[in-house]
Amino acid sequence: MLVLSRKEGDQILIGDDIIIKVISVEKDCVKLGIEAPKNIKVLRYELLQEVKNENVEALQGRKRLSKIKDLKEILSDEQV
Amino acid sequence: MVVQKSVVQSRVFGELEVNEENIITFEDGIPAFENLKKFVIVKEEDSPFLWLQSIEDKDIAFVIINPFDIKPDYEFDIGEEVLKKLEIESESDVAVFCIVVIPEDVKQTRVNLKAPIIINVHKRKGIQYLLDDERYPLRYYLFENLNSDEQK
Repeated sequence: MLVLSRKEGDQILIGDDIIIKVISVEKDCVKLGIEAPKNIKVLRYELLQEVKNENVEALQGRKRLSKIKDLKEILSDEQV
Repeated sequence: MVVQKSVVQSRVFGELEVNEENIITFEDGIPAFENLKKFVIVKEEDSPFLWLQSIEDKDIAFVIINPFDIKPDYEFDIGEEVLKKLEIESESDVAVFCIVVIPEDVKQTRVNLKAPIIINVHKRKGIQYLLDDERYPLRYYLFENLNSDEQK
């Protein structure tokens, strides 16, 4: 991994057309601006991890689904 | 035209007969299941819920829902790279679903509004699209929100 020290306002060029700019540095938080072509996906890394975890948890059997159907009926009964 | 049919084993449905033309290709797979590329959508009877069943792994089936059924004001822009990847040309090509997580305590059932499944229904291509949009949570609690809507 390439490790760089950069100051506020400094930029990094990746490939021909991706620019990362250090917008501000405050305490334990760095604000970065990223300029990339539209076909390049830019995402917070942890978001992908969270989605993966959620997808793994989403695998469930039919039993649970029929349970929430019951629950829905119970809920709508309560409203009546 | 001859419609190719194949029988797919599925944990949820047992033997499932699938028309080849109904198979949706997820070129990138689905996060955490990147190796699985082929899915079909199976409807639940009398229910807003559907299943996204893997053709390649019988144990992988997600419960999905049309997000507009539970949140009518749901909206987002589809990035250019996705339009291209799914060959989307008009709005009528697009169907959107969200994955439902049903935990042991079913009252805590939640819907992933942060990462919708986008499908080009004509080209049969799909993707799970990650929105960096603060309006929509990864965990949208279904019953909490149903109740609060109905009480209004």
